[in-house]
Amino acid sequence: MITFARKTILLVALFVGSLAYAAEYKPATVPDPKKAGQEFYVANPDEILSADDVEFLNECARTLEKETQVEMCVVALGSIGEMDCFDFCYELFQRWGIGGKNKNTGVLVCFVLDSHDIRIMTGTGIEGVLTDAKCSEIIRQEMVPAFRADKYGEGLCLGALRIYEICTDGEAPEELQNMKSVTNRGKYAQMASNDDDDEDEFGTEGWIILAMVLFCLSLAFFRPRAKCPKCKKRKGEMTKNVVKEQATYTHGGSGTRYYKCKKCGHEWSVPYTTDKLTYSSSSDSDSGSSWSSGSSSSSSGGSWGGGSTSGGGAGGKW
Amino acid sequence: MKKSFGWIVIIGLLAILGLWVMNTYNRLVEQEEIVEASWSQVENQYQRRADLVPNLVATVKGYATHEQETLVQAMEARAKATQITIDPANATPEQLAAYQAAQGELSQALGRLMAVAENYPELKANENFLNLQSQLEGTENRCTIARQQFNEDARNFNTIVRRFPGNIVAMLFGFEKKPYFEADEEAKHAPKVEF
Repeated sequence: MITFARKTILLVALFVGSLAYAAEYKPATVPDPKKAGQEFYVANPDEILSADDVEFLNECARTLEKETQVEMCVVALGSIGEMDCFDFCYELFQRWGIGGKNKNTGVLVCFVLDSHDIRIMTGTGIEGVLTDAKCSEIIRQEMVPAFRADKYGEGLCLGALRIYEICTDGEAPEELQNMKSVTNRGKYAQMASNDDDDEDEFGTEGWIILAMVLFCLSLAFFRPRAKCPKCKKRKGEMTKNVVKEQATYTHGGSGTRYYKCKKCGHEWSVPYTTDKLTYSSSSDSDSGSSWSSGSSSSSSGGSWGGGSTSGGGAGGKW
Repeated sequence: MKKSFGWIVIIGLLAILGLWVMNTYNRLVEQEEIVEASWSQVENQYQRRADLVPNLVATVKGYATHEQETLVQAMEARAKATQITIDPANATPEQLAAYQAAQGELSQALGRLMAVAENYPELKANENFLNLQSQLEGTENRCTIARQQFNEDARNFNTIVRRFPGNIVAMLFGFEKKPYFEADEEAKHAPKVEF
């Protein structure tokens, strides 16, 4: 018999524990966006990027590939464990084969949250245009200031926009520039040069977590009490819960709860019934267009072009 | 009849042997070509790094006028590194070690140069310097990858050369084991300047 207090403590412990654990990704375990279809370029398994950001990045990458055959891949991960970011990016690039096999114009943008790493890795065919120096500029001027302001999605979007402009050697199309994810263009770079390094130690995330913990604890202490039928005060506590019948898929369940009033010592019981179990219908049954025979002309539907990198590009930390 | 049957068998066996020798020889040639291509990639990347040095020295000189010694050392190390060339077909482990050592000295000289730049905030903020620094980091990374690739290709070649019975063919035609780049930890992580 687990009392309410113990249940709550367990819940709190699990909650706190789940915060500490972050899935570590290896190059082999990062989900390939191409599996969902040829028109997807973003891997966002930890939901670091918002839906708007992902849409922008996909749109940007799609347009870029259409204009220049440059394949841009964006990966945003919570953690890669102890692995060096450069090694990780190199392995991922080679494994997925980003960029066309002959032209080798692939770009990988990799963001790792826990180690504060950002890296742009370029394929051998595009490194003449998207040089190491230019990659470093993008990271320094567009991405890092935004990341320091905790705007990860926007930082990546602004960086992607710059990559687009460099690869096409011109202005990005109106539709891209007007999208929500890049409305603050130039703002973060400005902010960075304006204020000193006066960072908020605790941060907003700290407050949210503290509030949640306090809420859980308060549940343990301020439990709703049952009304005692004898003295009419709300001091009844459940002493045990006897389950007569477990609910199954064919019939409902029933049981009795026994209460005792803390004030007058009166004990009473309350019988109850529970509903029949039902099969939960999964909301998203997506098969995607992974290996469909869809596009036959270019690469087979749902894969990168088979390009490789010589390890060029630039990296940064924020 | 038995006599000629015996001959047929012998000729057949010789033919199979001949085919196998030809196959192994071709594999050795193919793999050696791959190794030589990887080697030229290594040389390319190191040359790229060496080409950055004069520019870097000139930029630093403009701001750090009293660091003559460090600058001169960097140029000397560069000269030394570009002088050593290796022919991958006949490379010995000693030659490769000498090459690697010369490049390592250049790495160290560059490390000292970057450390010196730490003391000059105007230099650190200079856009040209930042670009050169990022190019240097990028090139160091490429050198690492190129060395890794070379080692892997050399390993594949050496495996064929040393395994039995392939080693007989290798000996017959004069294929020799290729040297490796030894693990070089400090060269892997380019001198990073924290801002």
